[in-house]
Amino acid sequence: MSQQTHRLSQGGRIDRGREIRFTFNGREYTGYAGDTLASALLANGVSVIGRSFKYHRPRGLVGAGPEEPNAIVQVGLGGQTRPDQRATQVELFDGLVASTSARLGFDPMGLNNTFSRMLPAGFYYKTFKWPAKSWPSYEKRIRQAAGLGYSPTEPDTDRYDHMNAHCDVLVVGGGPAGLAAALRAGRAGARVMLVDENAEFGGSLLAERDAQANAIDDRSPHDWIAASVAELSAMQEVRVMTRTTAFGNYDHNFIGLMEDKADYRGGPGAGEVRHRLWRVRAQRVVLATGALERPLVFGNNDRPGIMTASAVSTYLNRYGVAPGWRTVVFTNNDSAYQTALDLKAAGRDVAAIVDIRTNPTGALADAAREAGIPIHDSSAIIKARGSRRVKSVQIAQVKYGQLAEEGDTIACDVVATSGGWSPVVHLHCHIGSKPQWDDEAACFLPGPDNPGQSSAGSVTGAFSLRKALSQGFEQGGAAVAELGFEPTAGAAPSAPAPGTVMPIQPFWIAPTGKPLSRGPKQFVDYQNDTTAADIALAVREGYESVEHVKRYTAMGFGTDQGKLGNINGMAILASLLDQSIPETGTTTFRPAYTPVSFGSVAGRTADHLFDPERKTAMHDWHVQHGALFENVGQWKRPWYYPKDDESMQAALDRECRSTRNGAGVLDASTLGKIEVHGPDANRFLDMIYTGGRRKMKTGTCRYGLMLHEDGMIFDDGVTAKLDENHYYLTTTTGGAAGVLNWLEQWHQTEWPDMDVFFTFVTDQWATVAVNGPKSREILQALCDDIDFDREAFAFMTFREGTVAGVAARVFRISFTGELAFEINVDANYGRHVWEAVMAAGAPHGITPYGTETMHILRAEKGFIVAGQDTDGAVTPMDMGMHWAIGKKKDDFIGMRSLSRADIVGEGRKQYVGLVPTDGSIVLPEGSQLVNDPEAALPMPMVGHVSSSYHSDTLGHSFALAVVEDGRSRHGETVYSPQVDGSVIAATITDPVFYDREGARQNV
Amino acid sequence: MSEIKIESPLVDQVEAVRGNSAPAKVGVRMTEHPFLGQIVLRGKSSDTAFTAACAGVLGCEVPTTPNTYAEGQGVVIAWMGPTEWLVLVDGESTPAWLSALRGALADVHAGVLDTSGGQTLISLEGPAALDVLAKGSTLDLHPRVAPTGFCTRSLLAKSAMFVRVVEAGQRFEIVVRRSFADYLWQWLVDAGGEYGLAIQPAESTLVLAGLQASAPPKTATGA
Repeated sequence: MSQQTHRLSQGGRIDRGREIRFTFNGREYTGYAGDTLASALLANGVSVIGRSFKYHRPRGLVGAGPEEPNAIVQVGLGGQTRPDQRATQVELFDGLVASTSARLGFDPMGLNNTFSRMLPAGFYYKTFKWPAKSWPSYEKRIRQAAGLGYSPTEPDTDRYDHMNAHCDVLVVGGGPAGLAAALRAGRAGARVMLVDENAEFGGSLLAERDAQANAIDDRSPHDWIAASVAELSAMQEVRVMTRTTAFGNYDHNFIGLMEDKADYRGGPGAGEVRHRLWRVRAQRVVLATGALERPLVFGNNDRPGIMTASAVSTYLNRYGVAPGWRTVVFTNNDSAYQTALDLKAAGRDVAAIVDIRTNPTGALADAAREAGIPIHDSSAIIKARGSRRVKSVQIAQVKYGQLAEEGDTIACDVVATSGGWSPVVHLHCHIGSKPQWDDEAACFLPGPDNPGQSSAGSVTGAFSLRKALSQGFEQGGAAVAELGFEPTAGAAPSAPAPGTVMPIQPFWIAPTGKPLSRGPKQFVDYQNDTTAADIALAVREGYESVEHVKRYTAMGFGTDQGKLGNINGMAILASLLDQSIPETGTTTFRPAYTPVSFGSVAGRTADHLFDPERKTAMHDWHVQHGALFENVGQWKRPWYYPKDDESMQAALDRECRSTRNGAGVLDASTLGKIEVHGPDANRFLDMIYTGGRRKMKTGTCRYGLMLHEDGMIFDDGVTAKLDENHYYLTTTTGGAAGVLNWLEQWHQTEWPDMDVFFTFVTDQWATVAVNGPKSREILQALCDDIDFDREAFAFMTFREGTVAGVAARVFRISFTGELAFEINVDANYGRHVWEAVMAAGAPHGITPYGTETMHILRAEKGFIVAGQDTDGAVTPMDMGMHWAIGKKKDDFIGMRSLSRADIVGEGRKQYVGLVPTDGSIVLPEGSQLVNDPEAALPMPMVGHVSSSYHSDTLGHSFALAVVEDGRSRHGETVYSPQVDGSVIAATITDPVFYDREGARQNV
Repeated sequence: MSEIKIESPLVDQVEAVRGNSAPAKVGVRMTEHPFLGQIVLRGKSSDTAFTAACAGVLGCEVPTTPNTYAEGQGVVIAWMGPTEWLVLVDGESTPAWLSALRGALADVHAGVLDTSGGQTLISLEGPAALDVLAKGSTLDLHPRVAPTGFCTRSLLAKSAMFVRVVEAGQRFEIVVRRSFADYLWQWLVDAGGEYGLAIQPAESTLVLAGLQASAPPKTATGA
């Protein structure tokens, strides 16, 4: 086990009393509670964390936060493994296992570095341009070589979650500005959410020494943070959330957050969730997202040990870790001087401060001089030496951006660089705002505020603590004032006045005195191995738009989305194009700010909760009796009920036989049911159905077709007339909601003058459909207040009565062609009545049947299933259902379309039956039909099979189909070429195969 | 004939019927209230004959302010839409309420539909109740937006729901259609798990905000 050789003897916000053991790349280490994986590795002296994407160069930590491009690790094992985690944001917990997939020792792919001239920028781009068919094999090789993470191959058994939230003010970022904003808004009584991606609030304050010199409101910074968070947490209407990343800003103040509920402690406990995706609707948003430090670009600037200055300070002050022993600071602005002072305070050598500016002045420069740190002004590091660790840097005098004179080589094991600060404008820009370049601060700032949003703190370029606090306080107050709250009086939290500051001097690339492509590599985007030379190549090849250059060089792709390097790259592009940075612009900022887990996107919409399983009142009975289920819409319907080791066909044959010869029973509860009532119900339904309703007698039922305006069938069902102007409609199972919408649409938009109501009652009624010659006897045994006499209770009528002690509506309708009764009862009694039917039917051998037998029986009768035999392109005439159209009707929806020339003309596909020449072959549903299977390709297709089964009743297979002019072709043969090359011949017949006279249902 | 068996749509959810062993820390209590009388009332609020007839039976005016409900003696009347109300009553007295309403509305353009078998009611109560609902509903049910007396139809997870705020921010009642109930119950159990979910045995009585269940007033039934 390694020692924490780089841990400082004191300091940092870690708990030295709690040692944490973890494994990285197969090796065990220890760190402390409060560490990140990055700080713990650094404490253990691990400088090489991974290999780069393309050149496989050894890479170490560059940053300390979300911007980290190199330390991208795979965390965890098995189904919970998470790829592409930033080691800088992975909190340490006991037993953590992490790895970088690239090999760290001798790496043969490192040869890519040596032969890099053969792998220029745009290499990948070119591979998928030409030759096209080679891309899949290129892709495989590239992915293997690139060392990306991997997805779990096992199921992730953890829970993930969604939460919808609403608030008055959402404050993004819990640094000084965000805390001040949340305090002001919360004190006014507003509903406030304060979110921060870190494990604790404090933002930039956590990276600084907790010194009284930086006191806020006379408290040390850390005490002020603690007091502020405590005050906020105590407010009833304030929700404070750490480990929560605002990853996306969408229109109308809709913000996406991802909260880590369990990664940081090794996983969720029982009942808990791992990640939670928040969908926040905020009245006002205050973006206090801070700024990220830019690195400087020079030769071999990717060597392990070369980091941003703020990262060095963060590791020192927050984690009590010194990245090395002897540091060279390279900067173009003041802030890195603070890092030099922090290093000194931690007892580490600062070999030099290399400052591109001439004669640095100001409070920090003075302090550095006082501390005895040598300052090389008007100078730059032009290249670093060392491979697995920086060993020294070569500095040079720079004048007017050009190399003036090569200077010393300075030995060091850390280089802390600062090229200035880039405000985190990402969220501000997600909804389309463009960032605006600020020459003075040498950075992009948020443009004009988005509606209902404002920014505060260093994201606005307010880099001093005092200004950040006052801005946050002001914006928090403004946000609530706009919403009608009264912001509390009082001043913003106070911080000491900043010392004198020397302005930043923009500096984008260190000159080497050679063409870009000849010197050592100057990395712009570490994760994608994009160098300044690559950008120059893109420009030489004619790319000018920053968006094109991005795609050509891959700059800004990757899991870090160029947080660190993009601005440098754009500035280099601007200078190569000899235009200004604003003219060059930025690439588009899109969500997500940092990667969002798939689990959190799915939430609990997984496994058994993926989609509702709608169940009937008799569902459990079906389960207990061995039913296999079919999904019909969201419904679970019994498909068939195999007995013992019965085959499917054997079960279907048995169910069919029993129904045709004795009795069968189907759970028909899933059919859509709508009550239509009101003085204009007759009028309304006359418009909806092709057939008339007005003249129906109360107590009768009628089959009906609904058409769309184009005259095509879209749903069917039976209408029962409960009373004058009071109907009970049934629809197809899958079409129920659509039919209700259809009725409401026509009522609300076309005929609002009609007094009619539609009430959806599908769930109220359990429907037990008893079919077969014995059904009457069964009903008679269960019901003594309905006269089941053939004449008294005629076909296509209904009665109300009591079945098995339960109030029921009994319909004498049939979907099998047999004598049949459909019993409708309050669904709370559905199971009871079903079981009573089974008991009463037992002497008659009653057999439950499912949807498959239902289909066979109805198809034998030629009864259509809307949506199966119809496809939205057939009219009632096509289906041979002229009888369903009211001859004397003035109008109904779709009527006018039925007289269109193309509807009445010849050549339309018409509904027919098919009997395969070989009755043992069941035509696959959906099969195309042709007249001549030997015809030249493309073979003219004359129709298709819509339903197809084996019939026990008929003793052979049969099918329903639509065939061009099929009704006049009965007796002719059509052919169905199959995917396996075989051809099935079938004879066209009438679509009614059984009991053509309809005698059996009229007994 | 054997005894008539009545079954809730949650019959397969053992905990819904019997309750669970409550966790040490309870953030939300959940109870099914099956077999209540759930009557859909259709009519026009502009039709005074309709509103007067309803008020006569229900003992209070039907609420015409969108997304509100009223409580009468043993009855909750919730606004569901411009021409639709949900009337919740005790299960035992449902036939009496139905016939009283149908009698009073016989000559009015109105509808009285029994949907008692088509839906069930689940109550959620406790400090985490709001968060559980927020996981599946985009509604803002915060007391400032949805005070006691608020109700609406909406979606919860992938199911339609009717939600009634019985006590702002603390106690909610959800009415779910029978065929979705099993799914939604499982969803609620999963969503509530992290807060400490206590499931109480099913309770087939209407729990009003301090009101007792009762049959319609005698005068209204014409008895």
